[in-house]
Amino acid sequence: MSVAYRTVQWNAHKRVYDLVIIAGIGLYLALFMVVGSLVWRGDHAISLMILLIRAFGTCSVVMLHLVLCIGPLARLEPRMAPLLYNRRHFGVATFLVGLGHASLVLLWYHGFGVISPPVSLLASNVQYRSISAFPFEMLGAIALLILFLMAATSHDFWLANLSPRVWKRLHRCVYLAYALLVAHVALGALQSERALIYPTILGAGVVLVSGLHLAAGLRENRRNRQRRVEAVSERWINACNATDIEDGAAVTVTLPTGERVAVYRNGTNLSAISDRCAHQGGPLGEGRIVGGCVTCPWHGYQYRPEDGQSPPPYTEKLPTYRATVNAGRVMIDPLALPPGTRVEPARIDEVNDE
Amino acid sequence: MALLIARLIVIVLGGYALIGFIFAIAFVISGVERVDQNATGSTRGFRLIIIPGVAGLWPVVLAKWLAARRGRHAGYIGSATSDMSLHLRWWLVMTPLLILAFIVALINR
Ligand code: FES
Repeated sequence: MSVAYRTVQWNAHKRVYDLVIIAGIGLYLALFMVVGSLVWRGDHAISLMILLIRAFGTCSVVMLHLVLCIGPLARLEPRMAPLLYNRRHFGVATFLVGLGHASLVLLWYHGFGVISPPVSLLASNVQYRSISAFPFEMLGAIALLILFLMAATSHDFWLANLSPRVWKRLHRCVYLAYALLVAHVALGALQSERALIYPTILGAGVVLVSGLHLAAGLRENRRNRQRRVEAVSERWINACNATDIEDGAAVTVTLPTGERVAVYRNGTNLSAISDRCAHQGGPLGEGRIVGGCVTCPWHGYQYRPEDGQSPPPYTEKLPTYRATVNAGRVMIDPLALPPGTRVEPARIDEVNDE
Repeated sequence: MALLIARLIVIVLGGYALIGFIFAIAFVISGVERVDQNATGSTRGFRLIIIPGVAGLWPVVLAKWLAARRGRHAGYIGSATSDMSLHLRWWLVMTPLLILAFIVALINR
């Protein structure tokens, strides 16, 4: 959230998260080196440097798969949301491991000639029309460039200054990086390693990541359709029964315009705010009221239900909606008010004859 | 010819990165507070950590810096459903393409 920026807003959860990431990377690299030196020996023996290159390369591929699984998993199963909390550190670590792989490749394959390593990388293979001899390194290099941009802009400073919308679009380029990485492996390592196990593992990864994203997307679409509410008059939309909303929680509805609104109950007060967190678009309707504020289930940003504003010193704002209760039904005015507009909460015992 | 093009690409990219790096140093010293008031009183670590991003996106940051005097608001992230359907459409297109690319690569081994 806003207020003077720090390098990282550390807390216990983030420390544990990062420790697990670092330990996981270390363990993977060590295991790969041990298993690799047992598998590739005799006629198939490879140098220690190539083993390291493979260890870093496969580690970054595995990590990118995991990073990409977290988002849809959290949408499909809210209990997975804590994994989302510090995903950006996971992303930065993925980039760093990928950078380790690329640096070793540049050093080993292009570092001992008379021309500079980057020029050598670009010029040594230009068979762009061949499939089996395609310069797959370029695909990996572009993927790494995308991961760099994402890692370099992962601080909240960028979210605020590129605007959440542009930031989100930029970070969605991770899908493109993933496609490039899959092509990099398929046209690179899989062309030389003939054993069936390698394409099987990569294929399973592609099916897992795509399957999870498709399942999450389809489920969201279905839920949006189910939550769609219709207008009962020119002004009001019939959202739900007032008693359907548990105290401290929300019911989410989809307006005919496609926008999602979270109707929160705080005691006997009802307030309607946008369902979309101003941080990274988390589903606010799946959060809770903590300390009088709506709390996002993804990273914990907070908003006052009556005006959609983060409590001072924070400055995030959400669009709000007028709400009223009529014969036990919650009615919403579908016109979104400018972010941060205060709206008098409807009362659950209120009777409106409009 | 390939060598010449490769050299050109490296010179252009290297030049872009060098300008970006020099710009980033100047920006974190004297521009960041003008662009974002939350950077006032920020830590040295924060300034260091944004240098790679500023160097990579320096034309965008330069435009922000120049426009800073006009004032701005970051804006709201936008509607949830349009975002999700974009996400779904992306994966509906990408999944068959990924599988196809994978199969083609395997067949040509
Ligand atoms: S999406 Fe990050 S706190 Fe809501």
